[in-house]
Amino acid sequence: MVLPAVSKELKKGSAELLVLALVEDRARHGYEIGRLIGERSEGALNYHVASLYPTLYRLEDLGQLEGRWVEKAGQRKRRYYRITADGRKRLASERSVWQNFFLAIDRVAGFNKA
Amino acid sequence: MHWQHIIREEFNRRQRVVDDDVVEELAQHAAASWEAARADGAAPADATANVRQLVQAWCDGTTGPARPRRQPLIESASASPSILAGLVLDVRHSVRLLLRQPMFAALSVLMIALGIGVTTSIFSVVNGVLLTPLPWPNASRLVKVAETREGGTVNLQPVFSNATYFAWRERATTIDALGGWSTSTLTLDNADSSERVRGALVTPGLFAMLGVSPIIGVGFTPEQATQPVAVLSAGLWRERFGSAPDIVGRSLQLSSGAVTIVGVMPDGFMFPTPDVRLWRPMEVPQAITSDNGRTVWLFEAMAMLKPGATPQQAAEEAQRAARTLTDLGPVIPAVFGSNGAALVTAQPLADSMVGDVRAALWMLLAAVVLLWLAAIGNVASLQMAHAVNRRREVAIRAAIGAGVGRLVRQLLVENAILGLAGGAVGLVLTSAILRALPALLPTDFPRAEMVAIDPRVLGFGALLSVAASAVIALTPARLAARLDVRSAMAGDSATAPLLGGRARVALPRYAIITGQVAIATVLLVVGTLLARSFANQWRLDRGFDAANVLTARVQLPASRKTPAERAAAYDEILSRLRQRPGVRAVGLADSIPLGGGERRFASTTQEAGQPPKTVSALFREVTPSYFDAIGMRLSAGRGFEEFDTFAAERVVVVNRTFARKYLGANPVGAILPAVIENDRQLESKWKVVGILEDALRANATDPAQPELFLSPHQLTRGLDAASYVVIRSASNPMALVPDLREIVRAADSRATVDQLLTMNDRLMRSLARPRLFAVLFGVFALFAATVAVAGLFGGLSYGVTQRTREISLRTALGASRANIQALIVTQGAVMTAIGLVVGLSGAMAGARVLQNYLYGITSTDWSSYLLVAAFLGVTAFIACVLPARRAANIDPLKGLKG
Repeated sequence: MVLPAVSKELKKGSAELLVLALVEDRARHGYEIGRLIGERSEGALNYHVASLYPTLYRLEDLGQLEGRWVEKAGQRKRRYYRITADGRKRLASERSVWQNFFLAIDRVAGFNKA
Repeated sequence: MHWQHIIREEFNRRQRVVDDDVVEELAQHAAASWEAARADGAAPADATANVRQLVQAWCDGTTGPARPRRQPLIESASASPSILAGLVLDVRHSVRLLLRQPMFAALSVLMIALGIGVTTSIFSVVNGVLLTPLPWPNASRLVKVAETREGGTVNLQPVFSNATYFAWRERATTIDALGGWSTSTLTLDNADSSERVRGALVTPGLFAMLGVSPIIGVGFTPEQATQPVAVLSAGLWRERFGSAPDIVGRSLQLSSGAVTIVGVMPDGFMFPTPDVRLWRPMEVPQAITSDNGRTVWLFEAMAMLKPGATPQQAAEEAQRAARTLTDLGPVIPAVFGSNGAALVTAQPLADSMVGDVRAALWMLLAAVVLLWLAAIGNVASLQMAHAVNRRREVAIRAAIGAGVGRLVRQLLVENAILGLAGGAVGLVLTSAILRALPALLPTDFPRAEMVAIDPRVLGFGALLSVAASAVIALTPARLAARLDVRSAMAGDSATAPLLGGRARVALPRYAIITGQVAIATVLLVVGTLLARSFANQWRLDRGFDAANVLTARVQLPASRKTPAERAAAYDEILSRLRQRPGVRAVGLADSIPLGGGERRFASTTQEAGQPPKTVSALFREVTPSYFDAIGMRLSAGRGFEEFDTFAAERVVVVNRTFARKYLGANPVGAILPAVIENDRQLESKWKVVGILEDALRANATDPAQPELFLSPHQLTRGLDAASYVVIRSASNPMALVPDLREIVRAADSRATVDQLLTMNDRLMRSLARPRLFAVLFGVFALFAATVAVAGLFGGLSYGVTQRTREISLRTALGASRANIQALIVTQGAVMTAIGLVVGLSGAMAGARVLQNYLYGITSTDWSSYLLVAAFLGVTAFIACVLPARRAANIDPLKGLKG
């Protein structure tokens, strides 16, 4: 399924949700997060990296992400981002907001008719 | 691509202040994006343009990162998943790197493989011959015993006499057992042909002394010592009897009579030599017979020490026993060349078997280890040159966070791969060399059958591989550890020399080249000395003419019992051979030079009022044309003639040494001052009719011995059933082999011919060891010289490339072509000169060990040293001239532009 291009505003509003969702299970570094968003949405949400790092830093300032440098054998030093307890609360609330949004749209526009 | 630099610039242009962490993180993202774009097939320029756009967008965005903050939280490498995972990564990285430069990798592996192959081969010989214990359970307690007489001049194989044997055995306190043996060639009679096999006579308790039991039967009982019985080797049992289980009690026909088989020895039992296939019991006779006669028997002997006793104690005890013996008559001076006090030596059995090859083998091992070092030196040089070219790669890895430890490990892994690959190829080479070894080693090389690839040899090869890896990794790793990231990243390698960076790298490389020259010098000196020594021995005048002479041993069957029957067969063989075209002379002898099995003669006479006079000499019986056939030259008088028959006056021919020692001023016509037993009577009127030039013995270093020649035609017993036929031919003597076989078969269908060799073959065989050592050292030396010259040439050429800017600058400042050439040649000349001085002094010190192996040349022979210095000097000069000319041809304009 190829989604039509999602509007810029939508992407921007969903950015924090997407980042938090991707680090929910394990810590990831910035490049990986950007790449995963692109891959999992099959290209539709090819994230503008210019806003990825500001998003990360904002979430970090809010105490919802925690970044730290990690050096692994055979790899360059990387900055990994891990979700905090606050982050998990935020993720849960964002998820329910978006779910309600999708349901409302569906009821109005009728996705299942297509 | 320096993304950090670019990103910081972008931020600066926007007058935005960000901390290093942000720049670092974005730079990593940029680098990863660039690589991803490249992986997707974008051209480098396109990928760069894309990422630059990305970077600009980051910095342009109103929400761009702008906070100067961040607490560093660095997780150390110890948190990494496992060392193994890192290693796998290193290995993959190294293999990729090496495959990118296949020539470099192949050359390194080949160098290491050659070094390890040759070194491990020689080590496997050292291991098999010197380090592997003897295969018999009791071997550590066994000592070989030998006796001689004070003042003895004769260089004998180690022997023991029956007199000492009994005298010692009766009162021995230091030993548990004493045993003896002797070997001979036997003829096995088949239905229609005969076969010659090597056999040994052994005292009945000998197998028990060694601690080896037969697989069938029980060996010899003391009662069997006088009976016609035999024990077979496992090989002979298989071939002749198809491994029949009921072998005991069967009989075997020898030309000397039938023997009953009483046992079979296990596979792999080889005593005293690997070729012995049949053992018969030996009864040692008492020295003084019941009728007060004298019988002296000589054989080889060994003793089993009591626990705690030393070989020295055993030898002293045996010597005391031997000195109590009553006089055994003229046989003792005949055997030992002196009637002095008995001397007994005892030597661990293993040492006695290895004898004089021990020192030579250690020297060879030392030589190949030097060779290995020289070869590794070249690989290390290559690696160092390579490392300099890779400084930027290494610097980048350091810049993106790889620690020094990681970098050193990466270099070690890379070199370990080279070392191990070289080791593996080297071991393949070793097994090939060992397969060819039997053909290369002299036939009498002791314990050659023990040479094989065993765990110790494999361990040695592995050790060399690891050492090679460590040595070649050392310098590049030190280089990495000292790496100055900023200057390496700055990337202008051409500026490095001017900043003094080159000297640090170049010094170890120059040291390696100098060391290689020194090693080549040592090996060339030793090789030259050995080669000249061999040539001296080969060219030596031995008193006979070895060219175009065929020799063979003819064995008549036991059925020809009487001298007349034997003479009839020999006469027929001689007269038919003489009629063949190309045959110049034919003679018979009971023994020949370089043929082994020499006989000795001694006689003691006493005139009234005079002290007793003893004559002791080597002794041969030869037919009239023998001297012509072997090419011995008469210096006075005549040789034997057909008219010297049994009825005629008794005549002898002696050599110069005999005449000088025992005869007066006019030896020809003198009466021999000795008695010779003939027809059971002692005959005393033997007239000397001819004097021969001295013939040297098998070992060129042995002094000439007195020799006495008799004609068998004047002896009642005539010629022996086994005699040597000597044929001088006009051309290639081997062409006469079919004729000889046919003529012998025609004379007696049961007669056998063996030891078919030209005199030159015999000479070459007797010189097999000096030749082997000369050839091996020669090959090693040339290899080392090649390595050194290649190192010199490569090192200077590389240096010229590295110094392009400096040389251009010199030229620009007015240096002439000659100045530039002199600069490079001087550098090479200094390395060569230091290497030569070190090498020549090293050779001078080491060559002293060599003196025992040299003939006709001293280990300090200055002309050999000079020759080596001249040879290396000239080749080194040629190796310097080419890079020097290249340096002189550098266009200063291009060179300075870089």
